[in-house]
Amino acid sequence: MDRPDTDPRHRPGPGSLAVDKGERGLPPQELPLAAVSDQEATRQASGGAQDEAAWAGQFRDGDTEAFRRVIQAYQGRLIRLGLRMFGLQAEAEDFAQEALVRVYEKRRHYDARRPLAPWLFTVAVNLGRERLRRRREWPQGDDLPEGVQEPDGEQALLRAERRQLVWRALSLVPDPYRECLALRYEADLSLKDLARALGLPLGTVKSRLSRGLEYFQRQYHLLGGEAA
Amino acid sequence: MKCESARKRLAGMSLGVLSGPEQRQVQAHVADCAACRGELERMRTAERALSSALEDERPVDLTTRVLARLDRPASPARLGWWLPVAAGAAVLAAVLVVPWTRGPEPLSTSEVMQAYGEDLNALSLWGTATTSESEEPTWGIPTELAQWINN
Repeated sequence: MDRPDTDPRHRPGPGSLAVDKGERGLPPQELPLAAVSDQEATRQASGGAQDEAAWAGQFRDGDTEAFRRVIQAYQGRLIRLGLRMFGLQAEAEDFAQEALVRVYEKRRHYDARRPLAPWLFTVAVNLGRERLRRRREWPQGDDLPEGVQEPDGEQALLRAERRQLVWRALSLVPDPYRECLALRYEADLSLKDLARALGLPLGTVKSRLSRGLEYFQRQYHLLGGEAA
Repeated sequence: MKCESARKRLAGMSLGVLSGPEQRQVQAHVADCAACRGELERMRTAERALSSALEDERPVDLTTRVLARLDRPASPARLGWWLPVAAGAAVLAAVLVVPWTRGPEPLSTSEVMQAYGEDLNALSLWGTATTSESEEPTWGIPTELAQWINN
């Protein structure tokens, strides 16, 4: 099992010498509270890696109850993947639904001896690419994404403003780089599995992640991100 | 490592995707170069903003919607491009193949009479038949047979 135990959305902080060799990130005790909670929610839904191995096989055989556990374990990450790829809550939810339906329809192609996540996100990212090809424009507007909670109080307002800056900057990152970053942050995969899911060589994935972040960083700071 | 090489690796450093030796080289460079250290901090600020952008996302449960979609017949879009193509091919095949599977066209009465008229007349069973192209053959009950029926 090569799935890391830590949330991939939180990279090593400044000064860290942690190296990604397929087992990324910080040990669980160093994770921010929100990330632990999110990860814990997924664990509770999946019942842990060993349990997942058991019900993933049942899911492959078409067991509805096992599929229900697949939905609950992955829906949050699929919606966030959709948000990062498409920018709209409604589209992200529709994408996640369609991805889960497609996962069910293609379940016979899944090798139940292997972890479910790499295969599931391969199906999802292929669907995401199809959708990106159909829709060339990132949605316009100041209220992106729609899914976040309404700001309440000064701190929340500041967070909302910062988030809008992030979204505007992310919209300017070209699709191939954005899909890499989206999958990196939401799929909880090792770099090798990420490369397999994207159908790209490992070196290309590393390069696209770096170029994607460079694009984003440039736009984010041009839009005043650092001051926000 | 020079500034140019280090700066190409700052995004990878922030994302944690560099190899061990690369990371150590960048680390050593930024320890001595204030400008690159500043660039690394900017990159990390942007990376943190990007990674935490969805922390406030509200939870959504798709279970009911997804299971409902499984029960629904597939839409034409989900059936894919091959279905209309297959349907068209089936129609085309039917148009091309069916004539070969049917028997020969029935002979017109003229053709029948040309082929068998003399024999039929010889049998005196079908009455008198003409084989003219302009006139349909006349079929009637032979006189002898009519008399036999009437009696």
